[in-house]
Amino acid sequence: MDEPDPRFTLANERTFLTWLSTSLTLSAAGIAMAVVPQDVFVPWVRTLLAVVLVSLSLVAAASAYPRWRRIQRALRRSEPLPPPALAPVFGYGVAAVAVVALLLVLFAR
Amino acid sequence: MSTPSREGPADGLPGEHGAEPHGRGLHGPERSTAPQGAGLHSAGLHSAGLHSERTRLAWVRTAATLAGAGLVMGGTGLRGAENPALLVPFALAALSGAALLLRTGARYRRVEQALKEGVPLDETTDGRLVWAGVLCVAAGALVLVLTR
Repeated sequence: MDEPDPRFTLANERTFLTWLSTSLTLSAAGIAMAVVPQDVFVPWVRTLLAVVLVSLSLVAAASAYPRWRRIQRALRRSEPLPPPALAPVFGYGVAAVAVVALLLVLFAR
Repeated sequence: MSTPSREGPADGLPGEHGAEPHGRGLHGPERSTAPQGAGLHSAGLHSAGLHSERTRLAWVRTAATLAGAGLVMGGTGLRGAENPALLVPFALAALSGAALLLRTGARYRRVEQALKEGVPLDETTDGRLVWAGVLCVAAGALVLVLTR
């Protein structure tokens, strides 16, 4: 098995780190949501939104390392890269939380 | 989408000037395949040196964020926490971030050495450490949100 071009290896490593940074950001967003004052959100809605954000964070973190290794293996074997299957989940998930939070803030006024 | 984009110039990867052969060291005279006067795509920007520097900065950024997240979220959890055990994952995350910050210089030198010698760049110790730290933060955040 040939070693891939080092630039691809380094790009793969940076992508792995970006997934982990995304996970940390989602964790921070979840905790920030959990500490929003009670007069802004109904408590159970606040908790629900925080749990969604932190769950997305867990999924991003848990899948980052196996994906890094899978991509490295694919690069070595010159195989197609595994598609970023979970990326839409994060996009739509965060967008849904943002829309719900915005609506709640607007209707709370 | 699912194939490696080895033909495109995106992200500074080899593109119109042809890909380097696999497994070769990229420091040295063979590194540049661009003609002189090729503008932004000339030798300098296609060197692996910049890639390793960007990767080092990515490690520093992630490690600093991890250490900061551990400290800030631990501090948030400390306020009004009934169970101090909640702080353990955040403390572990902060420690792993600090350890990674200390290791980034040595890691960068190892990568540069591997590039010079053309040996594989495949070290997973730091990867596992940062992964464990981020998992600690996410798990701690979930417990914190559910118990708050």
